[in-house]
Amino acid sequence: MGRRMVTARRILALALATLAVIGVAPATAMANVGIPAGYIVGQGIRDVLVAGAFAAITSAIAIRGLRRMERSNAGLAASAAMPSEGDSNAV
Amino acid sequence: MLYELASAGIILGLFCIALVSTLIVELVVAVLFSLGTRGLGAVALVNLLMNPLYNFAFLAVIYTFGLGGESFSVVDWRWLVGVTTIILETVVVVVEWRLLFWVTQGTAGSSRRLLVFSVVANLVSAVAPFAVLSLGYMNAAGSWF
Repeated sequence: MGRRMVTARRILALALATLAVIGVAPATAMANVGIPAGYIVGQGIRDVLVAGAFAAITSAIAIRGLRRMERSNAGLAASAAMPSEGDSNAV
Repeated sequence: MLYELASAGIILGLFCIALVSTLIVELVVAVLFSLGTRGLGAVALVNLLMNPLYNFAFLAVIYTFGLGGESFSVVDWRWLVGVTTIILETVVVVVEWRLLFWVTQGTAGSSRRLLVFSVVANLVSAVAPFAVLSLGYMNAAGSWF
């Protein structure tokens, strides 16, 4: 497995772990505030979980696309920097 | 069960609306900045990454500290929304700028140019909904059109 792939997976894992931590915080805070369990608390946790799942999926798709685009652009930039055969100024 | 599904659907729907409207606004700004096809693609992907994360973080902060709106909030509601928006928008501007520069590898402009784009695009996408809402309000009130 390439180093880039390992790095990307670490970044993705870190992002998902961050999402999970952020997602747990509201539930803990709700319990601390002392609002009775039920409508508001249930809805709050559900909303945050659904939002977190959506964000995780779109992030995963976006990270894959961004990495692919970065590789493509890096290749383009490298080939643009290389002197062509007919270039009389080429060293 | 039906209510829970509907509630989840509403949140997903709101996130999709926010994502699509932000994409439209930022892509229009990107066209005005002449970022090119590769630049437009990068802007779309960066927004696909950042917009749901931004909204998720916003939702988490609001539910954590402002649960129940004005009635039950442990801190002042307007202060909470204002400070959260400013902090998150600043983070988004910086991350989008660095991501765009990394992804485009200089094919869509210099770092400075991308920073200006990121600031302008996020400012416009943050202000645009309020502008549309006020236009709608004024229209409904009969003062416009």
